[in-house]
Amino acid sequence: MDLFNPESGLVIWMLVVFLLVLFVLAKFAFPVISKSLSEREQRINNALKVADEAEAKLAHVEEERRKILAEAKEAQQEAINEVKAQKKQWLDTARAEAQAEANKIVAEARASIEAEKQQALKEVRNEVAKLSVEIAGKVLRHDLESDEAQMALVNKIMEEDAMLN
Amino acid sequence: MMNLLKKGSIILLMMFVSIFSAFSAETEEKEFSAGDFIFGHIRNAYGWHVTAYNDEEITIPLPVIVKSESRGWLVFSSARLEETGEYEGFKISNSSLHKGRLVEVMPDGSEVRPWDFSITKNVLEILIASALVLALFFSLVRFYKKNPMKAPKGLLGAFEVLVLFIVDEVIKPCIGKGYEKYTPYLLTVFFFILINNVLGMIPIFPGGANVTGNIAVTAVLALITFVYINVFASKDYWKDIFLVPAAPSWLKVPIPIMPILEFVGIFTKPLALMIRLFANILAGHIIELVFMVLIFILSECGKNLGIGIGTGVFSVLFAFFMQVLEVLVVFLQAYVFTLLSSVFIGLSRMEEHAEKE
Repeated sequence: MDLFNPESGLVIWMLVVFLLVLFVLAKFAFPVISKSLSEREQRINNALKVADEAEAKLAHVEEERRKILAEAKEAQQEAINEVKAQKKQWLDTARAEAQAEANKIVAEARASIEAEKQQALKEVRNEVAKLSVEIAGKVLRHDLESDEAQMALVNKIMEEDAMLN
Repeated sequence: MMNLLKKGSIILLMMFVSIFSAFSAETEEKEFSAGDFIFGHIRNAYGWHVTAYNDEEITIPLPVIVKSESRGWLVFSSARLEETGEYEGFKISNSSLHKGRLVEVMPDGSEVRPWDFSITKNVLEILIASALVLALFFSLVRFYKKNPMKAPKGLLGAFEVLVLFIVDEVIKPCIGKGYEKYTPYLLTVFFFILINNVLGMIPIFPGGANVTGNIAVTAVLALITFVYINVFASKDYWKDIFLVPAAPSWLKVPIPIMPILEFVGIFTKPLALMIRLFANILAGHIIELVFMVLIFILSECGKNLGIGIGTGVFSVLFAFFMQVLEVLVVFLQAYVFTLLSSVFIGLSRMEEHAEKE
């Protein structure tokens, strides 16, 4: 029965000692402990946040790098294509120009040849005419003693000749 | 090899025989009372009995401080009570209500209990435990001041983990918003109980006092919890007690059954805390002692070596098992007291909007 009968002295000692401990701890220990713990927690949280941010930034940079690389590749391809097209165009124009020049030269040569030919023909014709006239003169010298008769014959022949031409 | 084994077993047997003959010799001299032995260990005492050596009891004397109605204050050493249990008109009572406590013997022979402020075994143990609690917390404080932003290692690290466990897993979820006001008390009470429980498991000075298994101690702790529950309680808590909006009106109108029950509940909650801790620790101590005492009781009955060795092995095995269980109980009871205090405090702080959620 005495076990269930609290001793007044022990109750008082217990109350005084416990409240004293509680007071001392609440006044001098718990503020420091809770402050340190919360500060540490905050710092850890901050560090984690910073790490997360850095990771996100790194991922972003990686993405950027990839994008830039892709863009550069694309630009390179474009430049190559452009150069190729340019080359082809140049070649085409050059070829066309050369062709035109060649054609022109050929045409000029042809024209010149034609002109020479005409000239030669004319000369030949004149020569032939002269020769003919001389031959004819020599032939006709006997028939045409007088000058008038000679000229009349010549003109007649010339006209015929012209008509023939 | 065989020879050595034989020799060893003979020595062992001789040891057992000598131990038992010693026991039987002792028990023949004075009647062994199991009840007195057990309750002597779990009761509070004026001196701190350490051990017996060469038939001489070794007891640490403690100051006895009493205030008698007629004779005023008296201070003397508990050693004076040891021989006869009497000193200057005071004696150790044998009545059921005050067994083991100092009473003043009146001229007419009646016993009156004086104001007793003695530094008893339990008071000293409370002082030792308090010093340990303070040392633990202040070494943590010193560590934080020396190494800000660092976590302690070793024993202090384990202590910090325990502090964080109580704060984060018990106090915060049970009380919710505004828990900071209660953490000093709940942490102090947890470690106070824990350290007293642990000291109670150590069989020799400075351990071995049955502090948390003493109803005066648990009553004080429950009283403080009671104050913390009711002093800072919210309006809704009182409304729930006296108006009981959850109960149907026929339970309230002619006879206010529910309000009466709720009102009684204010006191039964801390009362349950008081009884739970007291009974659990007391029971642990008693079981442990019973297994030890069993050896002596059975050796007295039979005076038979076989029975003696059998009970010895049995008792030691079971006592060991109980001791291991008690290691768990030591922590669990401190945890349960803190948890239930937090739950009761949390209930007293509930707000109407929190209830609706």
